[in-house]
Amino acid sequence: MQAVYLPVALAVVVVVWVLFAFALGRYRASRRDGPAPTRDRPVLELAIAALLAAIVAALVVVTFGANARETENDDPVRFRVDALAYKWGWQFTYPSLPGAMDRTTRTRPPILHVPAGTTVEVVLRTQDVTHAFWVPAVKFKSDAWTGAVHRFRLVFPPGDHLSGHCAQYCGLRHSDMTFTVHAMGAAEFRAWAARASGRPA
Amino acid sequence: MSVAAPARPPFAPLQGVAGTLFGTDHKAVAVRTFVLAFGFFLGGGVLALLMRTELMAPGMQVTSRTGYDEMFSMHGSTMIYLFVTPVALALGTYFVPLQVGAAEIAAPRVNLLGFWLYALGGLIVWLSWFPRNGAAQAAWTGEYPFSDSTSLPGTGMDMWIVGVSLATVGAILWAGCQLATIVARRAPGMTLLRMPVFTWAMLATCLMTVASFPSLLGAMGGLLLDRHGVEVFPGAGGAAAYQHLFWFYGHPVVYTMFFPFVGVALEILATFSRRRVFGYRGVALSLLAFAALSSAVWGHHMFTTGEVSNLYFSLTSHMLAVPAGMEYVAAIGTLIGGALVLRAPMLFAVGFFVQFLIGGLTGIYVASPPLDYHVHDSYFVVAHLHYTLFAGSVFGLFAAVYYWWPKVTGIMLGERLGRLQFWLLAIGTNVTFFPMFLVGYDGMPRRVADYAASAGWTGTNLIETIGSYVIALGMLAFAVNVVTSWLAARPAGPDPWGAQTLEWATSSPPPRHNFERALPPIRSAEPLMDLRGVPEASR
Amino acid sequence: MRGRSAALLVAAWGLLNLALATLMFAFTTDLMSHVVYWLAVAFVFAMAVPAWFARDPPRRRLPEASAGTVALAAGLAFLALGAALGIWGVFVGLAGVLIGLVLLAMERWVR
Repeated sequence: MQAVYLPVALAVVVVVWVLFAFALGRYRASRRDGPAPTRDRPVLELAIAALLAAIVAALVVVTFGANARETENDDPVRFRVDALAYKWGWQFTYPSLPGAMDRTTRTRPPILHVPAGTTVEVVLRTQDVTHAFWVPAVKFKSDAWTGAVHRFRLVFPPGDHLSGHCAQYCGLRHSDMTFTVHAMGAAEFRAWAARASGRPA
Repeated sequence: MSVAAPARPPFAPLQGVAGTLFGTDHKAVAVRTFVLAFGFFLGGGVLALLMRTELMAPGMQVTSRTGYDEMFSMHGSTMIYLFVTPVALALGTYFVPLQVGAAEIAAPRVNLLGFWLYALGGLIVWLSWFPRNGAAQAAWTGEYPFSDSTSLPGTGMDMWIVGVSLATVGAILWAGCQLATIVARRAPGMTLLRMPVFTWAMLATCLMTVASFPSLLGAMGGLLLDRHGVEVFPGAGGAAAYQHLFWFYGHPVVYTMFFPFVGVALEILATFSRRRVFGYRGVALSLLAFAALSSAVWGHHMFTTGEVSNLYFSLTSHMLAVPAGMEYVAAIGTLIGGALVLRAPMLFAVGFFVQFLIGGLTGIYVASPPLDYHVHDSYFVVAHLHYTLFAGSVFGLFAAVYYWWPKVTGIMLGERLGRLQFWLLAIGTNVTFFPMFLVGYDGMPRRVADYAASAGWTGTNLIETIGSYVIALGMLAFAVNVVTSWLAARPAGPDPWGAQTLEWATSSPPPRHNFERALPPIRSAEPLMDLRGVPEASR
Repeated sequence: MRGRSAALLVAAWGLLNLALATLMFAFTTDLMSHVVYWLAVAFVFAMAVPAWFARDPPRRRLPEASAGTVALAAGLAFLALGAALGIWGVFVGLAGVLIGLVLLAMERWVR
């Protein structure tokens, strides 16, 4: 997405700024006898409008495609996480690992354990107001919506310290409502899962 | 050029306390709105500087977490409800009647009522600092259910709701008066297609304002009831209903804070290019399309809620690029072929278009759900909205201030301090807000009082803070300019710029009923250029 | 007469809104989205009606100042504040509104 939108935006910036710079440099009153009378060019205007509409249409097509890939992702889920947001912290549990649980404590943010490189389903709830689950490394967030359950599928890159935040302002300790994602390779994840389910909290 | 009348205070002819409080002249009402709104601007700006100082480094330096929450809530509320929206509409309150050749605004008492509701509303919002539990802390959006009486007990939040509602009723009344003036008070010969570009912009603004602002009153009324024991927004659907009502207002208000400045900036470009505006009909048409689309895009603030059709709102939000692009076509087409004079109003008008572009294009970013899922509620959005409202609207506002100051006060603002202000603001603005795109994309959420030293955002935040002090210096230059030029009192005369529209055909400041002599014949959108024999545009 | 062209313009703008609101049916059945939007669209068309019938106001002297308007504004503000401050705010507000209306009536008829 960024790969499409950024070049388009940069191209527009360059074209518009160059036109302004050209006009400001070339048409100073001090360097000319006087202004030329204004002459509208409806055909040119319509052509530019059509060009803009075409760019917009292309971007909309790209966006709709990417949106469908993200929200209608039906890859088989390898692992499921139940995430609960509350004022002010997170609790992570795993339906396949009944004993494993981590939640925000006074001294440290919780750790979310997931396998890397495979499809993970997050089931997100809130206990009170609206929060939002955001992991910048996967460029995705979803609100933890009052009275609703949000499900989404993510593929995490490997990393033992991916940062996560509550993105929806929720009051006093919103700034501190962070978490860490450990996205592990297959072997490491199996070892963690065995340890986590073997020793119920 | 005729000898200018000596500078008179703009409250004439009814002076003193009674004139200030009760006077119905639309010009005096607009000036009062400006003075008051700039007071709120100062207050909101001080809050911004305090917040930037807090964020300069990790850890808490200036305030507590609660203090920070109050600060950003009051900063956003002040800037949107009490500063930019009122000044944007007040430009029209002053100049729409003049530009259409009317002796008075329609329904002057309703207009006055609008001012007082705004003034009292603003006062109530700012008095909310004093009750126990402090000022409102639910951002400028009053996000439900966070804003309910469980999460935010206390009178401060209630006062915020009341104050915001009153100011909004005021805005609706102002917009209604301007619409009625455009509909029924145009001078003979002033057909719709001879209205100045600024008046067209105000027409689009006011249509949008009147159609969308009542929705905020619904949200505020519901919230107030909800806080006092009536369950108005139950469950998931209730929280969504609040956001629908809020954002149905909350997106159009952004354009209420934008179109008037597009209008005046285009007039300034034309005046200081010494020619008529390019693509007049295209401008009028695209403003109307822009205004209509603005009511169809509110859901793009709700992409991450799972409660709206992301595809519909993404489609309509992308479509905004077309009318927005046409305003740029008009701007560039006006400059190319002109004879440009880079006076202070022109600098700010060019700065408005050049900088707003970044805000506009990043708006297309957040119109795309897959990109928005990442940047929503991050500092990327903070950067985006400040590029539209500060790098855009505030530059447009200062363009208007430098352009119309001589008309309103009868005296000129200083040119050199104006240039200094422009360059300080331009540097400060970009140093402050551009890095926010980068930290936001990197993962810094908005509305945080603190961030971890390990996050790697410390240097960027320090740069932003330094930028914000440069902005403050720019504002100081403006204050000095106002004082020194007031003392110097260089008379402006009726038309210091060689401008185009009817407000320049009367004295500066204009008399109580706007025009003492007969209006010049109105045969185009630029009657003063007709008088000077500038060739007509071939449209 | 001047109102006619403006009324048509408002109605045309209403049609633009109507088209966009109609387009939304292709995307969602969410009731709240449609209700909010259609209320606003209806309001736009309603605005065109008074514009159509607008005509030149009778030439009359308008007051230079209107204390009644300011009293009315203060009354309305206190009425709304009653919710935050308590019932006394409502009483003060009612008094303000009453005084405002009386003053406005005097401005209109005593002149």
